[in-house]
Amino acid sequence: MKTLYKLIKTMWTFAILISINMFLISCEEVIEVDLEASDNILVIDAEILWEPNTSGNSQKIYLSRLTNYYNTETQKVSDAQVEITNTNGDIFTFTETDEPGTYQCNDFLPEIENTYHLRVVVDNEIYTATETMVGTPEIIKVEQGKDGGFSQDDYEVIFYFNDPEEEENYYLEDFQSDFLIYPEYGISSDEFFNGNEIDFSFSDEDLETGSTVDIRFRGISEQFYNYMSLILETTNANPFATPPANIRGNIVNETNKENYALGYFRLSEVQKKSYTIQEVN
Amino acid sequence: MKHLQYCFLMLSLNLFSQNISISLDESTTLQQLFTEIENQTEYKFAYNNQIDLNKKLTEKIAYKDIEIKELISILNRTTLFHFSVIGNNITVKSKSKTAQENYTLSGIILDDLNQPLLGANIYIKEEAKGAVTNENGYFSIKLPKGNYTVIISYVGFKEKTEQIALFSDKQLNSSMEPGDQTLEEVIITQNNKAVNIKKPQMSVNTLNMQEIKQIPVAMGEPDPLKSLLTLPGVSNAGEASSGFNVRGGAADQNLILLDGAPIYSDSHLFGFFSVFNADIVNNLELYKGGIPSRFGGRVSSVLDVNQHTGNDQKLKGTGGIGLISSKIMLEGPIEKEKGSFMIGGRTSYAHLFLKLADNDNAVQFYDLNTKLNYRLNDKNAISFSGYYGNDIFNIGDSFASTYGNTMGNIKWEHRFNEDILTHLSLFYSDYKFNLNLNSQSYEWKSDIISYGLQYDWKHYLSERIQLDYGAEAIYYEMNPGTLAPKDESSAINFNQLNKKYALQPSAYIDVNHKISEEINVRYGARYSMFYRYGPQDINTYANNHPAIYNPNFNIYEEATPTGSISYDSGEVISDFNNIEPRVSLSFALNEETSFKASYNRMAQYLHIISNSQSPTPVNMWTPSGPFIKPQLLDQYALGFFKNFSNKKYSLETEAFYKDIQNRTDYVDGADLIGNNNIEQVLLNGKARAYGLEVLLRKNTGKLTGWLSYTISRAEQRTSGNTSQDPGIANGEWYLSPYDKLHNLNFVTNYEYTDKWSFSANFSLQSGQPVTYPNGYYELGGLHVPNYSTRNENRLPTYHHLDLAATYTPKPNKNKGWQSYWVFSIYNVYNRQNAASVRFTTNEDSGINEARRLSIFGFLPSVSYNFKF
Repeated sequence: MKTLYKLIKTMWTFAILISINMFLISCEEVIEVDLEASDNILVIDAEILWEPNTSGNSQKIYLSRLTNYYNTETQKVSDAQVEITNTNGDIFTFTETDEPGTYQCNDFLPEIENTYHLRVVVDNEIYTATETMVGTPEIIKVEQGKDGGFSQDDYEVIFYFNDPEEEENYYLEDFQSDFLIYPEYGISSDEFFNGNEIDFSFSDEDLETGSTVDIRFRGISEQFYNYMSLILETTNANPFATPPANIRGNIVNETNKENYALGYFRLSEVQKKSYTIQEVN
Repeated sequence: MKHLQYCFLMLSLNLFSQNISISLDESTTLQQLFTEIENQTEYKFAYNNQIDLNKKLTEKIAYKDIEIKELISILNRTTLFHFSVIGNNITVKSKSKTAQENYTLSGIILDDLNQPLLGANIYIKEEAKGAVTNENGYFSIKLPKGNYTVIISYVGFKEKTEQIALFSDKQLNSSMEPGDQTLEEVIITQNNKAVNIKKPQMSVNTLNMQEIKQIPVAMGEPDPLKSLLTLPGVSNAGEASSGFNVRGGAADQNLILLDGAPIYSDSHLFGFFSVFNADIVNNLELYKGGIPSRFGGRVSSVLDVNQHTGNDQKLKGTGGIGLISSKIMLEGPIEKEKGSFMIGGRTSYAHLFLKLADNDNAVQFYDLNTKLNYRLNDKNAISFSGYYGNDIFNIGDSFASTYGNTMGNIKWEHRFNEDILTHLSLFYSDYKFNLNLNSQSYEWKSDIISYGLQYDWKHYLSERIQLDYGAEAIYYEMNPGTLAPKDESSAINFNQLNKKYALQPSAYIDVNHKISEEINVRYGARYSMFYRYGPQDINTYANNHPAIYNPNFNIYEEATPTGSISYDSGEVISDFNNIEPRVSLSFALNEETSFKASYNRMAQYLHIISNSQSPTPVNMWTPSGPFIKPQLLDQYALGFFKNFSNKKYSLETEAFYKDIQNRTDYVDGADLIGNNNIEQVLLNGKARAYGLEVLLRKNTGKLTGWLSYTISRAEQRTSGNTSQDPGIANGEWYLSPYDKLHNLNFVTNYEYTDKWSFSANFSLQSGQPVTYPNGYYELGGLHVPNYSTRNENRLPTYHHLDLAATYTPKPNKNKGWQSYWVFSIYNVYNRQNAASVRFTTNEDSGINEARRLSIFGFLPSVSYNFKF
């Protein structure tokens, strides 16, 4: 249902913008806005992805802080202790790389359905989060189309999978390509298409013959689905909707509850595919 | 000369204020009393031959050195006659007869086209008494028997004087001739523009069609709804937003009535146009406060729109051709002087140009209006009103959407006798939304359907007391959504969200009571009930909290239902009832100045649950039930009203305070559409608003117009379910999205010559409350702006100036084809007003930026209007 809502909402935004543009009366301009300086809230971006048939030993976690909106770089957090434990009691330690704020581990053991516990210590305060690794259905095929986008003549890349009927599923996919500065995300639940063969697609007016699109498709938990829906609603910046305020993830400050952290700790199996647009005859 | 007159006046005052000494017993006749007084003073008695001079006094009169006025008042108390001093005459009337022999003078006042005139004045010269016609042109007044001069007047029409002899109940029907100045045909004002000083009704915004057509608007299409925004206490979310906000209320808190039946959506093309075609609207009134008991069901305001009644003499037409849309209205007799029809239509045609330009996209709206009238006899009339309108969106082949209102209302007017007028009406009204996503092969439908029966009585008890009472019942069927696959290839499963059924019966009474010449009161109450019926399965939740707070992550989460209760068809799920008292009072200091005060309580059982800034076509009405309580409003208003310079100017000032219980608020990021368990994302809150409104009007002359200013505050507070959870914005009062601290409008019209008139509109208001980010962070490769407390920032101040010129090529032509042109410029100095500011990362540079969306820049337009 949430997918539907999102779809309808997005459609309406487009419909409104198209109708406004039809009358050639609207205009969108970049303006300078005086904004409050940010608090230095800690942000933990911990996504563990495991591609089947790989070891999944190497994983990265990013620590940064909430940064003034107009700064081009976020503030990184160095010298933190970062570790993950699983239910077997294995401890995976993440150490800071040459890149400030990036913490890496090379002995991670991914296991679907296993529960993992994240522990981060920054400035003597302990932040924790617990999450289970979620499995992902296999991508059965990838193909291209030529009637994507609202103009319906953009190239599109479509991938297919079978939604398992017996369970509630939540999905998050992202697409990356040379012309995209940041990944294009899609999020959905199977509520309205449970048990069917599903296709997700990506289209862009910049897609052309020879463009390569990298697909990452993952199953996610319901709670992360709720969280990520808010994040995407915020980044999509619908001009006609009220943005969600203070999106809080699953990180808890054990030392001082008031000094909360932003971000999310999540683990998924990932299905990766690469597709290069072919010439159509 | 003047000085001399003054001296004379002083002298005569002295002369007539002399005292007398009198001693007369019970057997004295009137004749003797008159002679005695005439001998001692300069006064002369005046009386007609109905006075029996041989009649004896009933009590003894003996006074020494008494002032004549005092004696008169004693005589008035003790005798069967009524004495009054007029100049140096004392007139005598028979008291008992005036008390016993009252007759009713009633009738219908029509204009030259046999349209009933609402608000025409009937003045009885001899009695210095008057009456005003109602919406059917009907008036009624009780008078002692006698000969009278009746003066009938109405703005824009020649005053008419009739002599009548009233010796039994009498019917006086009259048609009025247009005045020397030919005004536009559609002007039927509710009253003349000056304030009605003595009527207890306050907090009403009224516009007539002439004023509406003069206000310059974007894209040149006169818009009754947008015009209301120039009056105090009314605002909206900005250009191209549907709905309007009254005194800090939400858009779903306005009851919109078209010929008495509710309409569920008020705009076309996301608010670019309202559903009201200016050519078919007769008059509109917006009740912001002091709402009469006959209205109920929404807490903020009532917008009462009446359609034009067709001409029952000859076929006529009105129309207009604009850049975006065109309209036409035809009217004429069904049977001469008995029945008439009015049919109107309007459509936009931008889609045709797009087709020519080989563009697959189509955006279109149309509406059809009709009103049929038939007068069966003096006592009975029937009428039918109908509306049908839709918006159509086609975006390529992938997306097609149609939505709109349908309304039909049959009304029977019956007059039992001179004192009781009744209206029985049966209506149907719906709003349907349909969306086809061909690319995904599915269809989405939602609707609200309602049937209503209404019986209103107007009862004239005496000149001092009139009653309005009646009852109403509305039955609702709401479908929040049906999702259906279009064909086998669709990945979507069929899904039907729970349909909802409800009945809303109510009864009301209002007493219009003239307590004295100075004090007029209207008091009454409405008793409203609401029943939600099955079939429906209702979830149950632990502690009855469908949304629960998760203190670890500081977020509200959807509670897992503990079970569900299954209700059968017709079984009551929840019921509510409320008594809604309403009181309004006017206190006239003099003929031109008054204070008014009002209190009203209102209950609202249907809500639009929306978290967008203004309602979108997808938003559906949701009934009160186990989790959504009825909204309850208490509003207090106090006003000062004054007409000055012979009603050339009028001043209306009002202060109001209102308080709404059970205003639902939604948790951050709530999914409200296609959500079967919407209660899981809602929290119960409160709202309040207060402010001061000033309206200064110039009513007559070549230059007319008004200046309106409102300073107000609209706030919401949503505390959590328990003391542990913070609610919205930490449970503190925060600004409603429709808070407008300052709102100033200046509207003026100047009649330069018969051919040219010019008008201007200037609006200035505080920017809308919004939430700006206090920073951003990176997550999964995205830049995520972080928003803090809701509605703490404001969009930049909103202002624009609009100008229009109306050119009438042949102003003196009153027959056949008559036409005029309107040239207008919206936003003359091209102010880029922010409809919204959004925060997003530039797709090419990857740099964070704020983007301002502005809708209307400098926008010239032209329209050609005609009538025949």
